[in-house]
Amino acid sequence: MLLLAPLLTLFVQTPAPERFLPRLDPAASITLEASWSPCKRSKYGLFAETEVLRAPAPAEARRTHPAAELAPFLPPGPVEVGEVWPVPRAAILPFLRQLHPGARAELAYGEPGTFACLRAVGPRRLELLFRAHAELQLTPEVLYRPAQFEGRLLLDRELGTPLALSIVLPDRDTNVDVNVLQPDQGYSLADIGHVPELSLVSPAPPGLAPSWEREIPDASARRSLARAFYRFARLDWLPFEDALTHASATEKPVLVLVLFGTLDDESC
Amino acid sequence: MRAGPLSDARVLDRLERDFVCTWILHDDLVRLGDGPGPWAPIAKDVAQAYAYPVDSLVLSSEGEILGHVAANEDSSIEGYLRLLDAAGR
Repeated sequence: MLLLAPLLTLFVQTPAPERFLPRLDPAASITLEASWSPCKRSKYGLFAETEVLRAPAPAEARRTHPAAELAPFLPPGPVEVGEVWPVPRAAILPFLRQLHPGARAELAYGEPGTFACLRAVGPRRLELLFRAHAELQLTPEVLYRPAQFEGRLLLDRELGTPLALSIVLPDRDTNVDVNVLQPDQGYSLADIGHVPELSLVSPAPPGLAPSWEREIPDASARRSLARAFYRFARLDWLPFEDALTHASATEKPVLVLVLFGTLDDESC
Repeated sequence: MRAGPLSDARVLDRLERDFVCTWILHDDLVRLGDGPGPWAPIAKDVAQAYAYPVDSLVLSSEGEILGHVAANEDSSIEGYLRLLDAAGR
């Protein structure tokens, strides 16, 4: 029996999760189409009053990005599904400069950076989800601060070709903060608004119905990415009504944060 | 707020252990307060107590407001810990 014990231990050990190393064909490229809609609604009307914010347009409607621009988003070594890794801050800039040449990864304030996560792996494809914080200096006076950019990159595992890529500002009310310097007065005015579309998206190739062997839901990947930026994201933040119901059931007090912008992004 | 109290281990440990946490946009809170839901009276009270632009409130498990701290007035970690003390935990 004693001799069997080590063997039994071997059998009950959980196998290490499989790890994957996404690869990229250095000769590959991907074309992205840009869209940028005006602000639909803002708190103080500054978007409507400021000329450059009234009808924003991408610097280049269509641009082809080489593999070298995608390479920094890949992990430095093999990763498990759900694993998060940091991406060099400047990696997002060649893409965002398709929207505006004033894109920058150093923020006036807030949490800069980019993190990526291996969300799903199938027999032929894998998908990365990433989150980048960056801002656009539209003019010397106007600073445009999107809440975040969410990227989704679909790669062919064998060929290393990028099959699809999207980099989008999540569409939620509110999602962009602006600071407009008043040169005569020497101070800035701020506003926060809802921009329905700010995106770089590759035209979807046909026949891309996903077939995953391992995956985590988008919501889990997003939560992991948020936790990479913010310590408080480790807490279980419930919707207001759910929190009151839960507090009543558990007899715990409630912490309520009331804001005019989202807590877990850079829009406020 | 994000870089201050909400990044502090003491604050986060207490919130994780002793509190139910939620955040909400002021506009949504006003809508909830004006709605027919069972939590509308509490939403209305919280909306009325809100101090611009970011306010943290501690409520009892029954929804009574026990204390609040506006980020513009006090964004210190000690101030936040005192707010959590208002819950008696």
